[in-house]
Amino acid sequence: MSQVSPVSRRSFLKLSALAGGGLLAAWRIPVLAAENEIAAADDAIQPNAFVRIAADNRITIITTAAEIGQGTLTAIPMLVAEELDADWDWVSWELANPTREYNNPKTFTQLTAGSSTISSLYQQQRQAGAAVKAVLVKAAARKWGVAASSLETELSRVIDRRNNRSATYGELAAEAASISVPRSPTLKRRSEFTIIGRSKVRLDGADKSNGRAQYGFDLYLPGMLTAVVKRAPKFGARLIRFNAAEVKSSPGVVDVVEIPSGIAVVGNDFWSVRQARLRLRPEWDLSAAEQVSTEEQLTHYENLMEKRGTVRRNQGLVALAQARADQTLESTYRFPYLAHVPMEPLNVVMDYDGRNCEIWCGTQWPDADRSAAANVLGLPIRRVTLHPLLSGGGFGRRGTMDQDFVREAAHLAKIIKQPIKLVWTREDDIKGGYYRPSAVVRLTGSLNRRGEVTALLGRIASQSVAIGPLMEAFIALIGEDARTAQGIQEVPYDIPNLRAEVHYENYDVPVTWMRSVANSFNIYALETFMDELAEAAGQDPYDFRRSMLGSNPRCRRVLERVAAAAGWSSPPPAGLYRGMALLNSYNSYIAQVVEASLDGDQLRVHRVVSAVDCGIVINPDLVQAQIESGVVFGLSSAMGEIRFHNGDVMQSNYHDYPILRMHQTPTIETHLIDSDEHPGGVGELGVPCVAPALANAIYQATGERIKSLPMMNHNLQLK
Amino acid sequence: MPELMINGTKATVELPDGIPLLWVLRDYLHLTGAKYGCGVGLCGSCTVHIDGEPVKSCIYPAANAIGRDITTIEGIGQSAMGQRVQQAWTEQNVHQCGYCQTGQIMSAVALLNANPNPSDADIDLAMSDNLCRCGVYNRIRKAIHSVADS
Repeated sequence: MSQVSPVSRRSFLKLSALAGGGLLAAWRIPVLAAENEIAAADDAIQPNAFVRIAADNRITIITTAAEIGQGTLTAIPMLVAEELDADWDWVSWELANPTREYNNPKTFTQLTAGSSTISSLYQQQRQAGAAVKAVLVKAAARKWGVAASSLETELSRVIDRRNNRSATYGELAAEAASISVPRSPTLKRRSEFTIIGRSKVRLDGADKSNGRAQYGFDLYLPGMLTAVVKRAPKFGARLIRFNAAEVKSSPGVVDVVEIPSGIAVVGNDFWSVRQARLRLRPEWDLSAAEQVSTEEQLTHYENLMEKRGTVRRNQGLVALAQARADQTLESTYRFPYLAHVPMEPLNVVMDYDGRNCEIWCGTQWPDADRSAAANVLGLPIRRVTLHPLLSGGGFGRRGTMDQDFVREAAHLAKIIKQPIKLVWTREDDIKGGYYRPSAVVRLTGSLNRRGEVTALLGRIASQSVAIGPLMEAFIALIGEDARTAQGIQEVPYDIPNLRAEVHYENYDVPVTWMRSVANSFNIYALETFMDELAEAAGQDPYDFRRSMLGSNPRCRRVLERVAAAAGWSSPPPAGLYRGMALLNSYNSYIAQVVEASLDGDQLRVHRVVSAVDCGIVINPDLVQAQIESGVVFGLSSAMGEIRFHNGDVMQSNYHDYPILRMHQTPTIETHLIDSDEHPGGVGELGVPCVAPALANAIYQATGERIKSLPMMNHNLQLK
Repeated sequence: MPELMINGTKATVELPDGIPLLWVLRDYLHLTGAKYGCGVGLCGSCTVHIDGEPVKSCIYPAANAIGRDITTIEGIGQSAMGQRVQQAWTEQNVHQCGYCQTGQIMSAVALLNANPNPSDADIDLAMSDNLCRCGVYNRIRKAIHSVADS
């Protein structure tokens, strides 16, 4: 890249000519311009850009939003390509190294979480596309000596119809680099879209079909060593001693070293270090180790339900409404720890030579990882480069608050000082922590004589994924929702008196956000409780919910749509049972109906119908894909658990922490509501409702309300 | 040194005692299309073909593969069926994170080679050893049917 940038450093979009006649268009966030002046020297070698147009008219859209499966590497290019009038067939993607210029304009960091990517980049990426288009049009106008307003754009070409000529963007790119950029380019109206709203095929699909797609696990550097870590058997245990010499003499092993998280066995390849690790005989000091057992913990949480917690929402007068109620119902729900188990276990490649450090990994939070590594290595940030690779799933695990897996690799790199790949086995992943926290939720609901809900009190006891309410508020600023009362402190229903309280409890069990965070348990409690209240009110679950959505028309619309699509008004076919649930989160709306049957203990989920309103849809097929994915994820969560016994994790691999398999997967139908609203999130939207809708269906079949998960502990096996 | 025949090409590699085929492919030969997911034959991300049959290479001793034809995702596109399945996966937007999909494709190709027109029950049987945390099973089913129909 040649540095030809005549426009001001403070400009909104920076253009550079590329060797060979291309154009690189880099975004600058005006509010950070002053800081960027300082950062610019460090980052000069990195092409901080959103759009690269090559002389041969190939267009590359560069992003740091992590691709963890949700389709950002297709959806973000669609936003840019739409406003750029790009020829989609020649658009490709690239993951950028984290630098400040790539920070999310709303969150000022690069955390991919909270279903917020599209919602927060929708405007910015389109503006980038429109600005680049405007510059290319000006370049053509200058070249041909005509007015820019007389020119049109289509399929990566500027067209001069009057004079019957055209030029490709690639041909104009070199000239465009010297043109000033408009500050507020005109954006298209929705009716003018030709790419947004179409079900484009994923841009990363072909490489993922032929094995060429590169994940962190797939990276090999010359002279690279591999390491696995033997971690403490219980969280908080301390290493006393271990048989280093014996293990070091194992074939293929280069070194065995202590790092804060345990003992790292370093060698030539995975098999050598994995075999050698089996020979480790560490002695651990368990005196400060966590000794929690799930049963005791949940009983403790249940005892806390009698006490008032930290108030997270207080609207109206719940106590007064309860005193005046015709009937008051109370239900208590228990939820286990869960593990993310992304198919690609955690791994980090690090090359630290004592002066500079390069990192390669699949991550949801590349800028935080880069800082964490710099912090551990005692390096200025400019000496650390991070190359994000594709992630084999994330679901929150690749974006923990303390960057645990990158920090651990940095501790090892500090000792080894040559390229090293630290990998987690599946057992390490399941036993090594960062779980969806366990929780107890108690809901108390009051009905008046007309069967209307007059008050709802929700109490939740759990570990905070963000160490309490202050951090929860802070985390909201970076686009994630870490609130323990999420889903209950803002119910979609018109309930005049509402209070949500939280008991934050501390255990030395690392927890973090997992796809749909606290909605994953709170919505289970809320939506099964809604069915219980409906029954007490003598109403159909659909009519009951609908009657309380007067001030939430988008919720009401998805509920009505799903009821129509699932045929709620007519009874299900013999042997089938239905249940429903509703959610408003991530600025999106979903209602789901589940159809299930029971044959003894054999539970079969036949069909899951969803109606979704996520505002303007960028790629309908990818939205549907996210809902399908969420449904399967939610069903897996309803069936499995991570259980502690005296501080030991009882599960170890997919045999005792099962996730759904093909034969257990229901038919999934998803109906999208046409909308002009700003896009909401869909990555987590499909997860929370499916389990409560299923529980509501099971109640229709058995008369039993399942108030603790997993369902397999209620003698239910998924067929 | 032992010889392995991988995607029609001979590779000479040292085989430590008991090393599973997966780690020979990945760490020795840098054929990274077969993935590590569980290490104990539960998830199918490591699926390759030995003489056309799908096996889980994370628990398949590499020494057992001597004298047999090993096909990995990198080589499956050499067959017409492999190509059709890969194309169907792309066209149906099957992939999400995509990590398990190379294994899924290998299982699907083996199924379709043995049974060009599988029923849903056949697909369940052949594909239920392959886990997908993104949960794209319905699209896998659809892609397999689309190959059978074409």
